[in-house]
Amino acid sequence: MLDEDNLIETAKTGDKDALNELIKQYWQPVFRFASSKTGSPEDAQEITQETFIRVFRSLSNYQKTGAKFKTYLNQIALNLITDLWRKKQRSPAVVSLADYQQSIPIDDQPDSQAISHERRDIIAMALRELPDDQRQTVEYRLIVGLPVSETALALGKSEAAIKMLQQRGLKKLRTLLLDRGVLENYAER
Amino acid sequence: MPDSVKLTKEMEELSHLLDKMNSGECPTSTDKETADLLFVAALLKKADLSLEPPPHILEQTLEKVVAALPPSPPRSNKKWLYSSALGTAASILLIVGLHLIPSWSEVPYVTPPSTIVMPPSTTESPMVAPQPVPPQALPHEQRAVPTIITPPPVVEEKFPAQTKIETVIQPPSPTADKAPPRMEEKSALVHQSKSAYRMEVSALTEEVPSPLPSALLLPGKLPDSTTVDEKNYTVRQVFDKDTPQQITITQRPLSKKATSDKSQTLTATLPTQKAEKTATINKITLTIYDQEVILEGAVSEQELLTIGKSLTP
Repeated sequence: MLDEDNLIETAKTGDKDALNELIKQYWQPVFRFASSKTGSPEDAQEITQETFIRVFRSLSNYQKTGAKFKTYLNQIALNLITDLWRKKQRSPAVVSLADYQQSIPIDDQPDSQAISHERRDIIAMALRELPDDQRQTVEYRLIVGLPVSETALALGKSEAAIKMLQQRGLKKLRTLLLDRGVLENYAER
Repeated sequence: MPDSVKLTKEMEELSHLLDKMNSGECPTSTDKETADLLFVAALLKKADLSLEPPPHILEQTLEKVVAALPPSPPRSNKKWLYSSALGTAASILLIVGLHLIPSWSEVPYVTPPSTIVMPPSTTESPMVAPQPVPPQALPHEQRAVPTIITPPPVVEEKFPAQTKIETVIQPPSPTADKAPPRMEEKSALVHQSKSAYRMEVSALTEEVPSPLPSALLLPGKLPDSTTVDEKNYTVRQVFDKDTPQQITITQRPLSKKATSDKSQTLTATLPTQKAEKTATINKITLTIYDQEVILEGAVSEQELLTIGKSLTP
């Protein structure tokens, strides 16, 4: 598999496979970033597509400045989001710091980063133990961040089925994480 | 509240809160079970696992990106344009060159019979001037072993620069093992030879550009040599060559007289120099059929005039 630099160099020539590979790798983080900023999965999807179009258009002029390609993508996505806010004449959604810290159980303190990596492996492993339909539903809904409608389209199921599968999947995942002591640590805190 | 309704309500509430979470908000729920599931969902999001998007979204994005990208680099377009233009120009030059320069296309057909030899007129069949045959058209055996070997052409040293177009036609010479023909046969042969000669000379003059005159004929006689000079637009015939009765007839169109003053001067001076050496050679200039005809010979001027008047086109 090509590394990122080679992939970008190949994509500069208009190679469709290289473009496809870059989209595969970076669609999710860009979409999640756009989704978290716009609050709308439809707007986020549009911004993600436009981000890739703009990046690939200017790929021949892309100069490596030491920044990651992901950062470059996010910067373009942020510009597009700002344009969207201007167009809709509204301010970005404001999230209070207290709510943010309360809802996100994993803090960003350096001493907990190692635990986060360890927990991430456990979470990923537990996710793989879910039945396929539940796992795919949870992945698309929470990791990729798709709305119910898109998830239903991707998996060929009804929206009601997706809602049921995501609930069952999260219940099963909670049981697995409790069994592995991941959630108990948070309860202790 | 029935369990199914409660379950449906929980599912709807959870889905709604997950949408909020995806939108960057931090949703909470008063329901203990829903709150626990939200906690797991938040933990999963925080784990920052990466995943490819569904195929239909991937294809949709790729299609839009490819459609929005420029079709091809402009440099390659220019390269293609240059190479096609060069190719077209080269082919045009080649075609024009082949048509404008006759030697390129005609040399293989004209070169082999540079000297046309009239065959001995011993048969009664009408004579046909030999046509140049392309080597490709000949059968293999004929190409390998030529059946007619002609003597080397006689090139007059007076015009060394004219060897390119010079063609010498020699009269038939009876071979040793053949008996001389009778008078009637001789007359018929002369007639046939004249016809063949006329055809050959006209064929020769057709090969050269149009301003060249067709050779005038002297009734009852065939020239020992005929020289066609394309450069100076002249046709030179020598009768009774290397004998005291040698007559040289040089003809040139009047329209070309002015353009070739240099060669005219040359032809005018040569007889004078010869005249100094041999006083018996006379020269007269006539205008016949819009041509300047110069007759030279070791006969009187009156005889030259008689010969000149008897010339026919």
